[in-house]
Amino acid sequence: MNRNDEFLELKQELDQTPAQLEYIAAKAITRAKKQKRRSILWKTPAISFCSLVILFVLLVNLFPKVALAMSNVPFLKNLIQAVSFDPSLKAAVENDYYQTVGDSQTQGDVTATVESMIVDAEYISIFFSVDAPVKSGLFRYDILDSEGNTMSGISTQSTCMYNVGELQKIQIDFVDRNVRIPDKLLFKLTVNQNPNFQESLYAPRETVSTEPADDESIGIDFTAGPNYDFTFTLNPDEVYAKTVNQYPINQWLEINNQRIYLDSINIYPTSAKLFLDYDDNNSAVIQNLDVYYKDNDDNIYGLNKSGICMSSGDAFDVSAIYSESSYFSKSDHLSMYIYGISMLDKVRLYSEISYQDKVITNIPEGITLTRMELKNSDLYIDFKFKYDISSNILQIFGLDYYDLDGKQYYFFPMCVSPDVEGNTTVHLKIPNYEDNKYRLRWNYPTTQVLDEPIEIKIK
Amino acid sequence: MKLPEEKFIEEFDLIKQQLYRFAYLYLKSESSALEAVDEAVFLAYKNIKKLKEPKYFKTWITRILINVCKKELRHNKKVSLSEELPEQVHTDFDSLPLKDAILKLPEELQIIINLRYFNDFTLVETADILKLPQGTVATRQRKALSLLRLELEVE
Repeated sequence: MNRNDEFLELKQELDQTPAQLEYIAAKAITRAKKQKRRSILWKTPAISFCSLVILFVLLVNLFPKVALAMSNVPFLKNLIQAVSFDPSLKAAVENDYYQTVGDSQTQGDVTATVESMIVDAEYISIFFSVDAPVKSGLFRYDILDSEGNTMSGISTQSTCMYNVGELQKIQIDFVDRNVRIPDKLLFKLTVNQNPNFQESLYAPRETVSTEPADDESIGIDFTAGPNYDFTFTLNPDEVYAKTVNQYPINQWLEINNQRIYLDSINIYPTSAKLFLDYDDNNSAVIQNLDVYYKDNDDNIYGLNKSGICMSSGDAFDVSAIYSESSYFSKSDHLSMYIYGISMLDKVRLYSEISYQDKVITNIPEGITLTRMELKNSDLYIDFKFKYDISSNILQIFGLDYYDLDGKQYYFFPMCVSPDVEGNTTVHLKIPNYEDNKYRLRWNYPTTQVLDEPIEIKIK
Repeated sequence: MKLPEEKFIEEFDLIKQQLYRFAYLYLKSESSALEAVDEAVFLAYKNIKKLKEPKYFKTWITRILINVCKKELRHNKKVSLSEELPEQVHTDFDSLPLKDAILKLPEELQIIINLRYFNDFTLVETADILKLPQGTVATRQRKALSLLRLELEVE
């Protein structure tokens, strides 16, 4: 294919646009109108200057948080900027739903400040900044309980990049419903100060082997430059930590002959979570439902970046779907619209691997086996597929595989090397391979957009 | 001037795919592109009085979108931390697939290719959006096409 043909193909590929584009204008205009209504309240000529002054004084004295917000305008500006691309967090801040912390610690020439938190019954978002004589660097953190032990039942990232002078956000997800948000926890932060960090970001990298390595300790280099450790004690406000609106749905739905139980929805200030269950007799595993919500003011709440939560064990249907929050909506009515579904046939969920026959069974359409090689008793396997933007699936099968006795193993580490056109190769290794003994589980569903969205009334 | 809401939506609907395409090529992510377009529409509607004439709507909102994308890129610049996604380095444009080669172009050339050839803006419109002389746009365009080895119409 010549260059111009590549160009035409790329242009055609970019013609596919996501369904959410259809309602973006309505959503953005509604948001703009709401902001305008708030500012008009202060500009109306019917309110005299003296009345405004009296109102201001009353607000500041009766509502301390207003005073704090107004006295810390730069702090609030930073917070608004830090949440500007998350509609739910942005709505929370606009509705004064945040908890100030204002705890600063200095070590050497590095100062770390935890400025605020946004807490609800499912998440804690921590906002902090780093002041150091560099432009940027790496940080890692851990969340500990009040005794200093690592907390279980939570989900967080571990390593990120900071920019000096910018507010950083980390989010703790209390995924285990049995783990409640504590009234005290420790936020342990390590800040790496590498004066050459900026250069290292743009330096050419060595070509990396696509063979899965044996060394599992692939990590980020914290040895370049000094590390500074900080421990902050955080006290999530009990009132915030219990905040959730729960709505039962209790409704069965049938899509493509699959029965799906819509159990309930929890609407937190920072997200919404739809809980699902399924008929055991379904012939397919449901890996995702595409949903959005709409209230009577035409506000639309789409899928959250966090995405979905998968069941474990023998069932791999999606158990919970996260979306943007409508918690601060003034509307009394909310409906959910299901407009797409991703499914995987149960009989084709697992593949059996046989090196002798050079076969892996049940490979889904769109995936190609490109390599099967035995080297020193280790089996190397490559699969190739086209990365699909709309489904955003890069991990096409489970990280675990099984022998025929049901014993579980893990593919780790796994290498994925996409090329520019989305053609992606996954490289696996099964160490100490014994023939006709293993099976792996696929995670590569077919996705279908429904002809008509299904509407479910929530409230 | 103040564009009525219906007309605003009508104008936006005509170009929404172009705006999304631009943001997607710039930010390389569907979700970021959608958010950027959302923010651009929000800012455009809020500041609609600053639009001189409806015929400039497309270039005006594209300019807003470019600023939103630049801000988002600065805000979300992160090191690639996943051990599952090793990158391979190429320094020769010729050997790179086209999409990769475009991403390797300097930003000022990428924007030109994005606007001119993936979003069909004319040379005049591109110069207006970027507030550059037409000659500068033409020079950068030639340079980008040469690096990419693309033989496309040069206005």
